[in-house]
Amino acid sequence: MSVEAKPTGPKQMNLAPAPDPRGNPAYPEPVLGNPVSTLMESGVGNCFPGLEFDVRQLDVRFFPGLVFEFLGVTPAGPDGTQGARLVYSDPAGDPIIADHFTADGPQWITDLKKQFAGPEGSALGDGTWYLHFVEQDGKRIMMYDYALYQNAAGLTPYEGETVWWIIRLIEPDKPLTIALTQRAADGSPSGVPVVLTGRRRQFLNDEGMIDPVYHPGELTSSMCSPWTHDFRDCACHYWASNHPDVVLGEVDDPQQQLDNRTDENDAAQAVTFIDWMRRRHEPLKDVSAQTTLPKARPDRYDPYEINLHWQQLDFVLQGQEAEATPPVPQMLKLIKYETLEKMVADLSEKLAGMELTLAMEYLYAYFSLREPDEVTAEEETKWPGLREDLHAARQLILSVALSEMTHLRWVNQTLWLIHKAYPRLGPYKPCLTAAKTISEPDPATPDIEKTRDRRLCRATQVVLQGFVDVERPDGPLDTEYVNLVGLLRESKEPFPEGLYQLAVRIDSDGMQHYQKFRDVMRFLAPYAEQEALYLRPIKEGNATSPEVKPALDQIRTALDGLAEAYAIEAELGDMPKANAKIKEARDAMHRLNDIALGLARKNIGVPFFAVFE
Amino acid sequence: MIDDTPPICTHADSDTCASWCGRDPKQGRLLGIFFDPPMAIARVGGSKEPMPAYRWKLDENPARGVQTMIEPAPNLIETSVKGHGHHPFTLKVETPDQVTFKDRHGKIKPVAPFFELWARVQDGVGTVVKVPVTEAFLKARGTSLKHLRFTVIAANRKAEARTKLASCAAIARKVFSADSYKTHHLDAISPHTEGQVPLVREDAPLPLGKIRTYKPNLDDPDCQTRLDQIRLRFIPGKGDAYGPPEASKAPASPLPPGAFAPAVTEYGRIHKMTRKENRILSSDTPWSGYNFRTDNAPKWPTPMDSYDGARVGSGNSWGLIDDTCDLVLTAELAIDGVSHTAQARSMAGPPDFAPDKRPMYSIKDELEDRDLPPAELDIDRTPVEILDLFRRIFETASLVNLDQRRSWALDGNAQLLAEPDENDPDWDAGLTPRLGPKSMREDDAPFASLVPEYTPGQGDTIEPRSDAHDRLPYTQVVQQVHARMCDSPILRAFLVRDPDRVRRIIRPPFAHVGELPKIPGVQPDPAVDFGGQDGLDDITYRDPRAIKAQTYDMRMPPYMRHSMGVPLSVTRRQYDLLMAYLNKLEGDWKQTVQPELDTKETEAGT
Repeated sequence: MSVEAKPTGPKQMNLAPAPDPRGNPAYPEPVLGNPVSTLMESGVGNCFPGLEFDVRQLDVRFFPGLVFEFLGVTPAGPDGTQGARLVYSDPAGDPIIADHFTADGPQWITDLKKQFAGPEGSALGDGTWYLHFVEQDGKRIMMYDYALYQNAAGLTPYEGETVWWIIRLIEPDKPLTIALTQRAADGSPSGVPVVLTGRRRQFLNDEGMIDPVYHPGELTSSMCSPWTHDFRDCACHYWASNHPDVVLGEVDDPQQQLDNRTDENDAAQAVTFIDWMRRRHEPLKDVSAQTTLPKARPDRYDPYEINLHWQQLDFVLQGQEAEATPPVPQMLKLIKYETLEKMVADLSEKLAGMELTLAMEYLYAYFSLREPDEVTAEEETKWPGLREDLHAARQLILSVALSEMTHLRWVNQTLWLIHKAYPRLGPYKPCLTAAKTISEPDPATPDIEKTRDRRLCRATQVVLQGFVDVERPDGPLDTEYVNLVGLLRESKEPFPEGLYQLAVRIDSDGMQHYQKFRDVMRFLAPYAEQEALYLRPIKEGNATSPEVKPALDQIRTALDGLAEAYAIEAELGDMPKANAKIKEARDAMHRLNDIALGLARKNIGVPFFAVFE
Repeated sequence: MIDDTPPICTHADSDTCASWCGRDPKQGRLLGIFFDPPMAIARVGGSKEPMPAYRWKLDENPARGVQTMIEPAPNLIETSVKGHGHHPFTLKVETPDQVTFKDRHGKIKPVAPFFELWARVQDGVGTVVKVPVTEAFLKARGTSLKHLRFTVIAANRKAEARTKLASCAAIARKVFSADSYKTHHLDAISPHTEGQVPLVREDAPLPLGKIRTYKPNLDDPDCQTRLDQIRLRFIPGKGDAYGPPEASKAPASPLPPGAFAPAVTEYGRIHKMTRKENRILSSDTPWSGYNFRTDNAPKWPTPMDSYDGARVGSGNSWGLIDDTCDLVLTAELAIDGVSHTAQARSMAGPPDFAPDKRPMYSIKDELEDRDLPPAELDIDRTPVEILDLFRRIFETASLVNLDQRRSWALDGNAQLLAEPDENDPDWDAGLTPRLGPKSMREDDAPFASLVPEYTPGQGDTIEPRSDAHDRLPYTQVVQQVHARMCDSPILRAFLVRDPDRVRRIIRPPFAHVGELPKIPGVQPDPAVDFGGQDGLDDITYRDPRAIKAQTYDMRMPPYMRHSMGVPLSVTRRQYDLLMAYLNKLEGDWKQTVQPELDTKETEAGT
């Protein structure tokens, strides 16, 4: 669009462009030939001292005509000179003032110019001056901390970092009064303050450029020298969008790469975060990232070393190290449902139930694992790492089970949104009945789908393999959701905004489930011949027994709570009540966890499906 | 010979031609000239090939989830007019199949931004149109390329900022006309007066990059690509470190970031810190041996230990600077006796190593927060802006090592509050949110909710229990939870169902000066306006003078660092807009006629 009015002030740069037809925010576009990494949207705005440039430098000239520095304290502590010190007063060098010799500018600039030309300006030409207070909206904020000495209050100057924040919080386009004083040796203010009235500088000019008063080099002057010093040495971690902390490694053999760019054969690759700042030119490769800075330190580049090796650092796409963008856009195999009715029937009669059944099967497997503290010292000596492996397996399987519960919600949410949009389908009813069968690929002929009865089994290798198969990309579950994506995205039907994103999310989560189960299978494999090492000999308990019944009651409470919450949410009803019902359901699941763990220790498994029989 | 006849646009679809396309270049009154973009980030790299253009795009692949990706964009390729690889260059447009970030030698391609020169022209009816400045446009206005003057001033003032001496700055200044198609090297030297030793000598200048302008390409006139438009390009430096001859090899501190090695004779491993050919700076300047501890006096800029040499031994500077800079481009021309000026800025920074991930707190967010009035709720725009914000939050969070963040922050809390036993799970008893080992654990309710559920094996510890196969438990959860928030229905449901949780879990930004208590701890902190919602009076804008404002907790964004090293919040504009949106969503359902629900008729089957 070429027609534009002359801008009258700074433009809102992040004003979202019109969204795409499906309600997604549009991305900003740079000018022809520039990558998006030239945009201010790609730069990091929180600075200590920053990556691309240091926005804190703007405040050095926050008040027209004056230049400050924000003195922080050394390890020796404050000496009374900390705070905002006037470097110099230079109204003639400031275009805001210098360009307004005539009286046709804003009145506040005319007034400020008179102050600089008068005794206030003269006073600032000599001696060392510090910012004393700033005042806006009738609020005067002193640049000093108060200390009480019996009946007297002592003033200790804030250090530069605190003062900078106060300056940063001044609003533009409002009258601003500041005062400067000189200081006594102890840092307390002395002499008569010089008071100036004006406004805080607008940092961007009409064209969207930072005010020309800032000299070339000034905006980067406070950055690290050389830049690699901070790139390696900073403890801040606030730059992950440009300087990642953790990433996934590349797939060594492109032939083994799955659609989501993870390794088909290497189960650990897709779930192992590695430290992006790790030293590349030494033999140790791709160790898992560490949980603390001291532990991470030995495998990272040293100071100085990085000055000559930073170009070894990898670029990262979608969280994974990569040399280039994928050469050809990967096409989706979109198979569409024939009709809306068919899709709704599939979601309500099959998929919702399958998600719930799988969640319960995974929970049963979770409770079948021994707890790490049950491992005896002798067992740990003979099988080093057993405790850790149990701990990891329990956490991973539980996270997948919880994720399936979330999917159950999303399938229901999809349904209630569709029912709302298409009244001909009738009212939405929460779908919270576990499916009696599960679709899974036939191991002999993976392209052929077969069904099996739901079952509650311990986490043996065979069972884990079954979990892997059911979550496998291109497996029946995955295919169902790909179909859903196909219908929701490609259909000309006016589906509710963003609905296809739910299907995409469930499907991409499924990939995570697949990879987590593969990983659990991999690291439990060494114990396969000694199942008693990692599995409890649990068997399904009797649903009517007094010790099992409370567990089933909690499941019923949870499902009833969800049913009520979903019904309310579907009608955009009483949201606090819906939220309370969901909390009830979660609390019930927490109680179920406690009861089930107690039963598991007695080798009794919760007969989850008895709830539906 | 250029005439002032506008070229015939070969753009494929005349319906989408620009409004200036085909118009008489003499038409209208020239109001001014400007660069687009007015500011652009350049990014260093050692390769001779510039980084190709790429754009952000939404990836909707079911295998990966809805998230941002990058794809190649139309690229401007420099072509030697005479075919011998040297100037003058002209530009042509190509879109590569893929973007590679490094060249075949493994060197990173620098991001070298283009700046287009435009004119703002007013028609007789008062409409203002932006028109590309071309050779033909200049000729039609009675001037020429020769009389269009460019001035480029680039500087690296890092050493100057510490020593307070201009003789330690490195400044390059180039002045040339628009028909000067050669490469203009930004060779910087240190300005100095008699008796001062320049850090960068005239005989060994510091290469801060290059500037080029291009001969018009009139082969296929197209108003979308405008290859006859006047463009400048800034090609930044390689990202190299430079130093005096002594800055060759040195022992490095083996300690973690933020720690100082004691002054002993042997530290860590010895590394080369500069290339031999880059040891061109003067030795006898105050920058060599500069020490932030000198005089034990407060100093700016902070952090003060931000130079090579600060963390070992005495902390003396090795005298290193780099070839990054920030610069101002100026174009000046005179038409009808009136001078017109356009200016733009560029800053050379590090590569964006995760180009498809966007900061949730970008430079744009920061600049807007400083200069613009509060964001106003807009029924169409706000939901999209909030969704975009949550997508950016995921993009940043997805690369954060939250386990490391958390342990770093909780360790720092104990130090800040002088707690001797940081591992005591209850050293922070009574504080909310928690600041010690129970942060983000079950006892940190109502802030902590999902994380304890997903990590039941984690105890109340500062360092997570991360085993060989249970890698980075907090990091895994944050990825899982935030990926969902990228999806509009999930985000909306999350915001609608429990808005008070959102209000509590997001760390408020600092108050404006006019809202701050006059004396911290005496007057109350300003409460956030939640549109009259009850029970939220304790949520206040923060005060940078308060010690509690310096402590890290799990409120979002958790354990991350803001400017000047305080806990990060989203910007005030982002925060107020999100809170206003929550109020609206909550108001919407409250005004909905509450349905009579037959909740017994479900498929729960229990």
